[in-house]
Amino acid sequence: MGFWEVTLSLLDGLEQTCLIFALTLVLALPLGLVISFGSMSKFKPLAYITKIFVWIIRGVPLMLQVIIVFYVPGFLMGAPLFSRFGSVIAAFVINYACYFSEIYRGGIESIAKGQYEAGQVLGMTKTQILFKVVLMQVVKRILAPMSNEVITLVKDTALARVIMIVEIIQAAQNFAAYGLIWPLFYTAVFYLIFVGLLSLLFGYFEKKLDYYKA
Amino acid sequence: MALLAVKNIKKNFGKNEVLRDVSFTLERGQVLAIIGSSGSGKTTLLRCLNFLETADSGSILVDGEPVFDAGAAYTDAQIREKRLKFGLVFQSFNLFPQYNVMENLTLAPKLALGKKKLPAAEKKAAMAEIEHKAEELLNRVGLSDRRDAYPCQLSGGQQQRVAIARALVLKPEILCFDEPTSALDPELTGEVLRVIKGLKGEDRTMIVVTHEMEFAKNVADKVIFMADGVIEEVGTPEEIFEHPKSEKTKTFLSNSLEKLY
Amino acid sequence: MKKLTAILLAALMLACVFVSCGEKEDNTLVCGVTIFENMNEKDADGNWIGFESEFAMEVGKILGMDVEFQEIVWEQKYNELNSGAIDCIWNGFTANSSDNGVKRSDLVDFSYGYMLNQQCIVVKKDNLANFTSVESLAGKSACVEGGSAGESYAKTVTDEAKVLKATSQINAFPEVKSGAVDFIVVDILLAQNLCGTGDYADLAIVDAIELDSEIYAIGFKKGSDLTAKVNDAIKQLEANGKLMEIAQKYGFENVLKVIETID
Repeated sequence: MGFWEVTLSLLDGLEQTCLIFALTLVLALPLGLVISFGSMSKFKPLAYITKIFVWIIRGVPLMLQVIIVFYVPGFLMGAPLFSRFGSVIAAFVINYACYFSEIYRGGIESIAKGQYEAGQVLGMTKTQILFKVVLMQVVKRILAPMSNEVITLVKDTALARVIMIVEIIQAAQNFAAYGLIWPLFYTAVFYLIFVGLLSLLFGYFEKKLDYYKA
Repeated sequence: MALLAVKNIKKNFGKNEVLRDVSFTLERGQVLAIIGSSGSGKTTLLRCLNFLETADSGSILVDGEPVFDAGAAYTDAQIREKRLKFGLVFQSFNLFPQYNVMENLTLAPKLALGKKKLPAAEKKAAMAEIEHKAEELLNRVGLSDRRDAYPCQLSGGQQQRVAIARALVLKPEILCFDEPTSALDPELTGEVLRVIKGLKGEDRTMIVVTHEMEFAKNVADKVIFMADGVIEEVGTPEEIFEHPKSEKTKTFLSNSLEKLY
Repeated sequence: MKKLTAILLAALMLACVFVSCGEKEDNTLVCGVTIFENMNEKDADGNWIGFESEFAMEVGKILGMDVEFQEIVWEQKYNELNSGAIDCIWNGFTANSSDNGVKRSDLVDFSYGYMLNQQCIVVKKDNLANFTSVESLAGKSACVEGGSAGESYAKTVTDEAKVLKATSQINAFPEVKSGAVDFIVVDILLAQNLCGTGDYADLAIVDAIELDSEIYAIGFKKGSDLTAKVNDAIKQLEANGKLMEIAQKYGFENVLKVIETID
C-alpha cells in the first residue's frame, strides 16, 4: 500500500476531523455565551443550576460523555437517539460550550463597571452595551485562552473514534490491519499543519485588535 | 421655576445611610458645586440623579416635570428616556477603548437613531447632523486634530475633554461632573477646568462634584457643602468660602486649605 | 440578540437532523465488525469484501434484509449490541470463550458455529528461541485484545498483572514489535496474514505452543428473533454449497465447519 493511497485515505479521515471541529466550534461558541449568562444570572437558582451543570460537564472525561450520549439512550429505548456522528457533535458541543462559558465569564467580569455605566448614562440599551461596548473588549481579552481551547479541540476530535467515527487517527489505525503502523505517525503532520494554520489565524486576530489597549 | 428640584432623597447601602434627606433646587444656567469630604454622599447624590443608583425615597423634578419618584416603578425604556435629561462625566473618563474619539462621540446617538423608524433620507440627514454636532463639540474642547485617535493614545486631560464632548452630544439639560479632575496629574487639571469654565459661558446648567476649591469659588453660582449624608450648608461661593456658618464647613475648609500649603 | 436567536435556532435544526439520522430502518441487518484481512475489509472502492462480509450478505439475501457493516471498537461490542446500535456481532466472534469470567453464551445469543479457529502466540523472530513451551510463557509480559479469548488464555499462563489489554487485535502487534511486551495472543488467521510481511517482517508465530481450538459464531442480543432466522439461512447456505464457495474464495475451506451446538 503506497504513500499516495495512504494519504488519500487519511484525507478522508481528515474530512471527518474538520467536520467535527467546525460544527463544534460554530455551535459551541454561541451556546457558551448563553451558558455564561446563565452562570452570571442574578436569578440565583438559575446561576446555581448552571454552575452545577458546568461542573459536571467539565468534571467528566469527554470520551465518557461521547460514550454516554451514544449508548445510554439505546440501553433505555432499544435504539440510539442520535447517529454516531450526531452523538459526537452533541457531546463535543455541550462540553466545549461549558469550557467557553467559563472563559466568557472571566472576560465579561473583567470589564470595568465604568464601561457599563458610561453606556447607561448615554442612554444605550442593555443589549447595545453588551454587544457594542462590552463584547468587543471581551473578545480581545479572551483571545489567548480561546486559542488554547480551540487548538485543544483539534486534537480532541480524535476521541470520536471511541464510537468508531473514522476520523484521521482511526483512518490511520485501519491500516494496522494490513501491517502498516507508519500511517499513524504520519497523521501528526496533518495535525501540525492544522494547528499551524489556526495559530496564524489567531495571530492575525490578535494583531487586528492590537490597535487599542484596554 | 427652578430647572431642577431634588426633594427628600434618601439612600442606604445596607445599614449604611449614605444620603439622609437631601433637598435642593437649581436654576437654569446656574453652576452648582458640591463639596465635602470623602464619604459625605456627594458622588452617590450625583449617581441618583443619573439613575445609576435608585434612591430609596424622595423625588426629582426637571422643569416641574417629575422624572423620578421613589414610589413609582419604571421600565428600562422609561429610565433611558428620563436619564437623557442628565449627562455625566466620570472621574475615570470611561471612554470606550475600542472606538476612536469620533466614534466615542457618535456611538450612542447613532444607536439611538438606528432604533427609530424613519425614512432612509431623513435618517441619513440625521446621521450627518450627529457627525456635524460631534465635530463642532470636538472643536469646542480643542481636540479636532485628534478625532481619529484612540483613547489609549491620549493624555488623561485629553480623554476627559473627549468625555465631556461625548456627554454634550446628547444635549442634556443638566450636565454632571463627578470629580472630573481627581484622576488627573496636577498639570493636566487646568485644561479640563478651563473647558468646564468655558461651558458656563454658554449658559449651561451644571453640577460639579469637586475637590478643587479655587474652581468652585470662581466658577460656581451656588455651592453645597455636604457632610455625613446631609446638606450641611448651602449658599453663594462668597457665603460658603468667606463666611461659613457651620462649624463642620469651617473645619473642612481649613483642612482643605492646609493641604495646599 | 436577533442574530444570537437565529444561530441558536439553526443549531436546534441541526440537532433535529442528527436525531433523524439516528433512526434505524427496520429492514436492515447492521453487523458490528472490525477490519480483519480476508474476513471483513473494504476494497479500493469502499465495498465490503472478505469471507464474513460475503457470508453476511448471502444471509441478508435469504432473509430479504439489507446488510450494513458498522465498524466498532471491539471492547464496546456488548454496548453496541445492547444499545441497538448494531444488530449482531459478526466478526470472527469466538463463541466458546468468556469475558471476565462470564461465559459469552450468557452475554449474547449465538448462531450456529461456522468456523474453527485457534489463538496463537506471536513474538519477535529474534526471540523465538526463548519460547519453547507453555511453561516458558510464565512471568513474561503479554498483550491481548481486551475482551478477547486470547485475554482469558494469557491470564492463565502468565501473571495477570503482566497482561496488557489493547483496544483491538491489530493494536497488539506494535506492542510486541516495539519490545513493550514479550508476546501477544491473537487469532492464528490474522497472525498468518501479518507476521513476516510489511512492518511486521520481524514477527513470527510460535509453532511450539498450540492453543485449544475455538468456534466462530454470530452474536445476537439476548432474546433476539434474528438468531433462529439466521440459523435457518446458514443451513440453507451450507446445503446449497454457497458457504463453501465463499470459504474457498478466501482460503478458509479447511476451517469451515457448521456446528449446531456450542459448549
